[in-house]
Amino acid sequence: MRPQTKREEMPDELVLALGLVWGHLNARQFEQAYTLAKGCLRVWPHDRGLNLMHAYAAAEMLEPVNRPMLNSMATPDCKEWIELVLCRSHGTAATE
Amino acid sequence: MNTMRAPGRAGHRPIDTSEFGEIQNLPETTAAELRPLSLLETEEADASIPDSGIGAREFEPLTAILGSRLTWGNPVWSGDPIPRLRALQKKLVEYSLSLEEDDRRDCLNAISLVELAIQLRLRWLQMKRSDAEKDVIEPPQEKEKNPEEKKNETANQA
Repeated sequence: MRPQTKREEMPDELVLALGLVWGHLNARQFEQAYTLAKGCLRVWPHDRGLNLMHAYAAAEMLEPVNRPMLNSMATPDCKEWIELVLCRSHGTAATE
Repeated sequence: MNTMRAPGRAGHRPIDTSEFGEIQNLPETTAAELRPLSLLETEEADASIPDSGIGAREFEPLTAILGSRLTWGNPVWSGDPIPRLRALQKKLVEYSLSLEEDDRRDCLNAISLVELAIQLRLRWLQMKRSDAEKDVIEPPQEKEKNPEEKKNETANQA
């Protein structure tokens, strides 16, 4: 109910980074989303949003997905998304 | 009279809020039921329109997880985001400088993508400005065209 406390903790640069990565994903620009998320994860390695989006883009790019990191973030609200990502990366692993 | 009616209306309000209380529970149960349906719709949409571009439905769950401030309501889409993008770039540069030279590639790639985002926005702002200038110039042009059309009409009539 109180995302404001989260907002205060989150640096402006990270907010922008998340917006940019999300924008690339939404435009199905997976390579850009992947590259940008990867770089930003170096600065904010534990940000959930960055990790969730990086994993999706990685699956699309046939790049390895950080499963332990994803599983550690599996809260009820994002469990479905993580399952989707893992399923996709499974699919790519099977076709390779 | 209004003050007499107000308590009557207020008397109905507690019932309304309790109804809202019940309704709040509904989305939780219906969301799970509706999701497979909406997923099927997206699959159909994806099948007929392969690249729908912005607002792809498959990312709606992600958008819900992140919340509006990080997605549609992100400051990157409004106002003048260039100073903020420069700040993000600066952050990435600062961090990459703290790394060993061989380890900087990820950050450098991200920096150049942010640079692209800045260049795109600068170009977009430029286009917006020239569009605004057109709006100022166009009305008199339209007025000039009208007399010409009238001339043509009179010429046709003659």
